[in-house]
Amino acid sequence: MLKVKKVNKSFEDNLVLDQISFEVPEGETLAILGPSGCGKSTLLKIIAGLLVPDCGYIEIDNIDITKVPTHKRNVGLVFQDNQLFPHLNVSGNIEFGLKLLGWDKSHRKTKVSELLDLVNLNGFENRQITDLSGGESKRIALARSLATAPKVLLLDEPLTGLDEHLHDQLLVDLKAVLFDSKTTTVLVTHDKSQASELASEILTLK
Amino acid sequence: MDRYLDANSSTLDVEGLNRISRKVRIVSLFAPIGFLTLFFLFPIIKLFSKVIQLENIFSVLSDDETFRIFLFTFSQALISTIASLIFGIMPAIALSRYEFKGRRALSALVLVPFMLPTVVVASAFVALLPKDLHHTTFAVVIVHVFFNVAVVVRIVGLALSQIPRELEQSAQTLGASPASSFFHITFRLLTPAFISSSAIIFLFTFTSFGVIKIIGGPQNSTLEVEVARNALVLGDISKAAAISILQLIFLTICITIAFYISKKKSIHLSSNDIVRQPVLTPKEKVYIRSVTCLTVLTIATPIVALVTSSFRLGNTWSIYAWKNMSSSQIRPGITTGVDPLSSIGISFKFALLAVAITLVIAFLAAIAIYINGFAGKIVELGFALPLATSAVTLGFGMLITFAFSPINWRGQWWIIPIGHSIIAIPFVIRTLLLKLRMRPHTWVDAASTLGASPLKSLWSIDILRMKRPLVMGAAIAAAISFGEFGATTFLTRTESESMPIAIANLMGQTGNIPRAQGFMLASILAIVTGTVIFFIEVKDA
Repeated sequence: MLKVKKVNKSFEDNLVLDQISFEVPEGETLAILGPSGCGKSTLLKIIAGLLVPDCGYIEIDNIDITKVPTHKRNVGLVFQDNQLFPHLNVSGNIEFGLKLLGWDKSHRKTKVSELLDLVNLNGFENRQITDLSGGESKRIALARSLATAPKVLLLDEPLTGLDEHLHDQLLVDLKAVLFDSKTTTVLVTHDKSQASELASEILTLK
Repeated sequence: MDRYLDANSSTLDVEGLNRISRKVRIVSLFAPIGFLTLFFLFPIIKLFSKVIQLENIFSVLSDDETFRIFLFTFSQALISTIASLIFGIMPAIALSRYEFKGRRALSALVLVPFMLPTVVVASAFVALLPKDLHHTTFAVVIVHVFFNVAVVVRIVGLALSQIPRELEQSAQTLGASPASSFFHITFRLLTPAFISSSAIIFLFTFTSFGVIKIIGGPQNSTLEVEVARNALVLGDISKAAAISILQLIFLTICITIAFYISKKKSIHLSSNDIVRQPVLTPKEKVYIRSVTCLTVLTIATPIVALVTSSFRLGNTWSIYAWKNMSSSQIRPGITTGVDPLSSIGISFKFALLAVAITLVIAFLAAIAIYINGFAGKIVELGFALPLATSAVTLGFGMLITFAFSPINWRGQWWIIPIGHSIIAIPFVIRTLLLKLRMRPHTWVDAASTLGASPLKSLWSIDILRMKRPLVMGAAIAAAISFGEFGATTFLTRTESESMPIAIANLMGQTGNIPRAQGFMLASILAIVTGTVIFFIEVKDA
């Protein structure tokens, strides 16, 4: 369970987040809706630990993690532009976190093919990142984040920038992935219908 | 300055230029090719012909003394390269990742040492370092690092600014600590930049000459110094030529391998807008402040020491050197053989002619490259060759080439500025081509619909826009000419020494007066080149 309590954040006198509070129950998905520039991405970065809030708390499973550094939080984050590692291939990207956890090679291999299955990209192990389409990149980024079984998954505009056909396909698949993995998820979007399609609850920022 | 280190030149659409008549295009190639052939290719070929017998090569290869010198040259270059990378990475990160007050000034400042004359910097470190560190490998490496941190900041910094911070952040959300995510992601993506900057620094430091002459001392000789010693002192031209050629071959192999690996390791990054982030956390503030302070101190200290030393005579303060600028006498009857004041005049004379020649040839070459297709590419490549040739090799080649009639020119003073312009032309061509190739091609369309002939539009669109880059080119040529030492050493004549030659000469003598005069003259040269560099940086910004 994720709890965000009275979080404030300002950049140089510009108050971006003002007393934001919400809860996401275990395994549920919350969509944060709002126009661009309303601080949605900032909020995700605060939950991930990439930014420090001016005040307020972040709790996961009733433990205050506000001061825990990013790499010890076990929070997955998929950036809007995916940020796949360009010097590694698909399986190198997906197993990055598993390597850090000390998984051996055969276990990593099994897990990678399981995840590729989950995102409907079987057999993509040895593809180069530069050869992937926008939709494929998004799926790989999703698989990479899910590899380490994060307690909370954060998605920043997961369906923005894809053409209509890919958009609809990925929407269906993303919904299935979120349902199957049973991961507590916060996603940020500016699209109302997308939000209601994917999430059980919607929080609107102004 | 930017043009010095930028490796890529973008070719934009030059449609419309192919309508310029064939005759004009071919004629445009004459002057640049003629100049390059006579003053560069010919001397290099002459150098090769001096070692045409293989036994010369073998005798050098089996010579223990030469091998010992090779080992020193190689190891000091390697240590200098690694040290430059280590000291360069901190300012590179600060300047490419963060936006802070004074960043632009700092990044201009970091590049200054790279453009200062070798003899000035070496003299400055003679003034700064305690006596027992002179003539040590340590001193040589320190001076080389001082020069080459600029290369790292420029090349690694540019690569670093193109790597999105979010990649490291992604790694952190996957469980990598900040240090480990830097190492696993950013560091790996910087590999090609590390390799290419290493290659350039290795090339510079392997062929180091002025620095070694002044601060290296007799026991720390590089191959370049050995070439000069054999050619000018011992008169063994064939041995000197053999060393030169072997060095050229060795370096060509090294550089080729380096660029091959760098190309193979290069990774295409999709994001290319540079986003510098503000300095937020206290840790970052400390980091930026210490980098700024250290950089300013490191660059200022040797220069201050240099100027201060010019006011010392032995252990006392004295304005002797500044008061007796045209005196070569130490005591009645004993002379240094160098007249500092007249060397200033000679340097200005050299620089003036070097600038004129450079501008004319570089301008003609740039136009010829621009309007010719394949032939232009060949000319461009030809004019890049001097970049890879050490100044000593060039000067040596010119010395043995222009020794017979009808081209017995080595005694003529103007052969020296020609040598300087050979070194400067590649840089100036780049500056000019950069501007030419940024031709907005809607202008061409507009001009031709208005009835302009192709030549007319070349004149009105391209050539008239060349004023700024030509001024820039003049400054670059002047900076190079004022500081040039390696080639000049071979072509100089007594009683008409340029400033760098006079400085090296004075610094090589014992006694308080020549020392003080050497520091004085180096201070003046530092001020002159410093002014030119400042001008370049301001123009460039």
